[in-house]
Amino acid sequence: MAIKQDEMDLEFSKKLAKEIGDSFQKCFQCGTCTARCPAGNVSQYRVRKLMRMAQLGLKERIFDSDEIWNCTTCSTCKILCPWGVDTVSTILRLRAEAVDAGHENKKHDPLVKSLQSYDNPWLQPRSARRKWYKKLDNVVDLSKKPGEADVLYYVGCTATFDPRLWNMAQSVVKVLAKAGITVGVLGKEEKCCGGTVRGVGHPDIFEGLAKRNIEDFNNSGVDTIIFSCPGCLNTVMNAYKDIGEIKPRMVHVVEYVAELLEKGKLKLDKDVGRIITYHDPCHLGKHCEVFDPPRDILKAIPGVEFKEMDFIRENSWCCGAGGGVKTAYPDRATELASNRLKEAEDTGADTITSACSFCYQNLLDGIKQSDSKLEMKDIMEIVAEAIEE
Amino acid sequence: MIGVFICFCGNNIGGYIDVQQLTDYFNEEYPADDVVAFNTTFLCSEIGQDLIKEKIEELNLDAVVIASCSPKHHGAIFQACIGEKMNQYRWEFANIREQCAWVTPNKKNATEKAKAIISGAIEKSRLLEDIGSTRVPVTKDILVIGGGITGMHAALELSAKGFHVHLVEKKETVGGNMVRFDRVFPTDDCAMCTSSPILAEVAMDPLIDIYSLSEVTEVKGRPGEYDVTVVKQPRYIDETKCTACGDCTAHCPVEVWSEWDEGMGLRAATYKPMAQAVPLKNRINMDSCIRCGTCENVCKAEAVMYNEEPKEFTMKVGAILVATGYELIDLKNTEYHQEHPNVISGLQLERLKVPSGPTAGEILRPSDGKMPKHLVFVQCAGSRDRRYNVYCSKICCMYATKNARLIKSENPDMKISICYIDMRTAGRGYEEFFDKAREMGINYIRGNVSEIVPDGEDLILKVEDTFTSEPLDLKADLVVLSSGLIPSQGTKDVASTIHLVSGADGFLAPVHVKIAPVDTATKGIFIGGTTEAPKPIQECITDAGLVASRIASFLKDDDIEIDLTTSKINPEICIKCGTCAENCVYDAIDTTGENYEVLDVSCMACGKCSVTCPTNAIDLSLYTEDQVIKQIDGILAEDPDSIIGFSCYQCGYNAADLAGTAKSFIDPKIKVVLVPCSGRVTMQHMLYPFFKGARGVFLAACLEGQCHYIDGNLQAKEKVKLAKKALDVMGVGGHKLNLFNMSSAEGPKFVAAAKRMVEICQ
Repeated sequence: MAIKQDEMDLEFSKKLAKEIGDSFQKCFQCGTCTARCPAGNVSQYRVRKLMRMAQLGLKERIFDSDEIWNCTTCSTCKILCPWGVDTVSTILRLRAEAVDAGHENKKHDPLVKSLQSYDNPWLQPRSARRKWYKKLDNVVDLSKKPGEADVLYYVGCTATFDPRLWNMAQSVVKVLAKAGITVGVLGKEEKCCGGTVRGVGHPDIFEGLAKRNIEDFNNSGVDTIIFSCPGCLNTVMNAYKDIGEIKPRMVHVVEYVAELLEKGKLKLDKDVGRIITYHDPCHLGKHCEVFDPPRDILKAIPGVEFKEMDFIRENSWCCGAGGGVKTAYPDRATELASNRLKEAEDTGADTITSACSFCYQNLLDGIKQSDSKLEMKDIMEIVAEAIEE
Repeated sequence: MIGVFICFCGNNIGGYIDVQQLTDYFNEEYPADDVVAFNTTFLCSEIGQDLIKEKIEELNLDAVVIASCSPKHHGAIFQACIGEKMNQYRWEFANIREQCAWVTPNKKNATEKAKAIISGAIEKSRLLEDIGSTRVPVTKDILVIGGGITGMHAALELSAKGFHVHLVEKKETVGGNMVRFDRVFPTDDCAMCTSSPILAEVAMDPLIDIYSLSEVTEVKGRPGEYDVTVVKQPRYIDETKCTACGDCTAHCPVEVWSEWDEGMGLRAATYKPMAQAVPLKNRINMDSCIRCGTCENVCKAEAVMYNEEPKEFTMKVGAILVATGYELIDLKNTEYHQEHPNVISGLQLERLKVPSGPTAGEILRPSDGKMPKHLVFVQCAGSRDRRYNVYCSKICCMYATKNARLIKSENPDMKISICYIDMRTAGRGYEEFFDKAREMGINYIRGNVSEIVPDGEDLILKVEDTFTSEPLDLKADLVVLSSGLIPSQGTKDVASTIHLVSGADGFLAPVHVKIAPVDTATKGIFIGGTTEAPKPIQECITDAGLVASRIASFLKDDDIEIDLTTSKINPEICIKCGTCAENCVYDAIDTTGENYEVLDVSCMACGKCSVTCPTNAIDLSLYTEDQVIKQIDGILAEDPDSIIGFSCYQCGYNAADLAGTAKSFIDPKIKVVLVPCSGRVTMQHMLYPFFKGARGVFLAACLEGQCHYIDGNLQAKEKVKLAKKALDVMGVGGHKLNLFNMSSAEGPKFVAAAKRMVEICQ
């Protein structure tokens, strides 16, 4: 449909550009982004066109279409862009503008409401946060006993409430305990990091959560916070910066375990007998630039034959779950997961591993959907397997 | 009486500054009553110049202040105009366009800032003195560095004008890149057919001496008389004996990848790169020679000299042309995967296409020697990309189209695609050339290749067809990268040997891109062709003609006039300690006579000597110690809490001008004081402004290692360190004095420096 003159709100475009450092206004529409966009490969979503619409200030068109809700925020486009346009920030900003203007994506409503009521996106009561470690006797609740553990393990909502991921979370405790580290958690006081609400256009709710989390972290009495969810890590480490200072050091569990292995504080002695390929979670790799530690860990596990896929590290294909896509368009998310699994299968691996709760869920769904022979294991589960009981 | 002439520059100044109010201010309110101000629409026009001349005569002016654009723009015009009526150095400029009007969005602020700038110029102009000139002899010989199409063509033009040319070429033959091409656009002429007559002419020209395998290692002296040192690498074959019969090559047992063929073919250890080589002599490349002695045995001319050593020799020349050209960016181990055998560069494709090349003109892919079924050209490979080169390489759209057309017409069944961002075909006959390519069925895909994924011997290109908005995987069995052009190693080497200015892109910078495109900031040294920027052969030839003409004009007389804007020694205070002579990199101080004297011909007027003199016995004309102080007085009298930014002529000042051209914002508190070199800024200059209320002081100097006076900026660095300590002791705070290094092309760096200073000096 023809664009009408008054549809073009260049003031909107100018305002938006001002708020984003490396602006979409530099985009010269070369299509480098779209050519490698995971979401674009399974839908009509086109990053390039979105940048163009933003340049022209076609805000009504942007808000009315479902374009902005397709992005998994994997950041591939941002990394590849010849002009360094911060596409991801542009999209997040556009989502916030859309929500402001009353164009929120209705499919995200339950998630947002759940967060406002229960501090988690999964419509679960706060007390259910303790379920995954109920059977473990070596986990300290730092909300009650600050400082009485070596580290704070921030589990994140996905692993907390999805029983399929409990073994992963329990493995983290087992592996750290093996190295003599007492693990603390926030128990029912743990709150969502806010990454998801930030991703789907609610910066205000996000900010509230961030403030409360920062307080919790600083009161925990430990000097290290360990994350197993890269989404949480990226949110807390990168998006909290403008909101407040977090005193403890923040690391992903793969970084922490790789350090333990390197210093000889953790010994792996049991042969696991697996051919493994590793999927880089976008929020751990592209966003937090953690690429080597998981590979170092896999290479240190006895009986692991490690195979790389063609697209790895900065170049890795997204599993399809992020940016609210799994909530709003589960089929697309699974389709992307299946594409990634095909690549994994081509390596001859029997196990696909990753280091992200969200990738875990989605790749598991992909395996089911595509009837793949691959087994999904979090990298911490594999490490735990390599520990003699 | 001092006459101030303020220019509206149409709206360029008038739109940002209240010129009338400014004029009234200097006529009515300015504290000194010996100042009279005038304004006009365009001061550089004949009307404007007449006004200046008329007033000098009518009012018997002692000095003139020109408040207009940057002196780098029209300085020469005003100097000539004023020179008609009084000594040509009795004027001072006030740059109220680039460094005031264009960087100050608020008209009131801009007008106030202009007052301070002009006031500085007025006060400095009170101390101006007559400066004379002298004539010095010139050497009529010319050095051309680089024997590519630009260097060869310029050498021929100069020889035609009767000049003797030394043509220095790093490779074993002159010819450059062009002679390695198959055909050239937009005429599809055979490159060799076009260039071989030029090669032959250069070879036979009695006025052109060719030095192959040679490099310039040192340049000393002054405009009109440069002492050049050249090192010639051994050919290991006696050029006077070799007949280029090829017996040695035929018998040489060595086979290695040929550099000349860009690794597309093989060569022996002794070879000549092409049948038309100039000089037509063989060469033994010791990188691959196994010293078996075969060539020595078969050479009937007894020309083989295994033990030849590099030779160093010197020459005197009056002018130098740098024509060292470009090379292609290396894209191995990137998302372009140039390390894959079937991903080749445009230049490698040229070598495959050349009838005399390794495949006798057939397009055979390197991995298996088979003809490709789908050939894909990847445009902007390493160009228009912040990770590589941000600039457009200009020639790739046309050369890819040229090769696509030629290959298509010879192999109609081959599928040929070109992935591009924008097709840039500006030039006579270019658009028609592109049009024909589409008609021939060449498949243009508008989308940048995101990644080339190796798939066995084939390749998959990830690209979006942006017209249909669909991502697609393009399968190719041969990929040609239209790799971006970068300055050649030779260009980078010469730039540092001669201290020439490079832009942010690494190509050498002319004095003015538009109006002086082949002149450099150093008189007597010129650039041309792709040494200056990526450009097609046509433009290189145009450059060559222009540069030959510029050099001929420069050397037309037996001597040239040199203004004595040099350092002067006061023998009454000089204690003959020798510090100045020790510090002068130009050996311009004669310490042999009764009194120390500055050799006007050798002095490059950087002013470094005056800074190091312990008794202040030596001072630099036009930027004397007191003149600079007076200028600061003038500025601070109008705007006491300014930040004084001493900016060097070659880089800092230019960067400040560029910030203006880009209409960047610079806080009006920033006031630039021009100095020839940051090494000229004395301790007093750095400290004095603080006593007069200045908020801060900074120096904008060349990048380290790129000072046009060799090490002036390093001297400044040391002085700044000392002055910082002094400021700390005095309680002012050393942090308010800073040195920033930037190239002449880095406007944004000047903006950042200014911003930083404002933050520091809150």
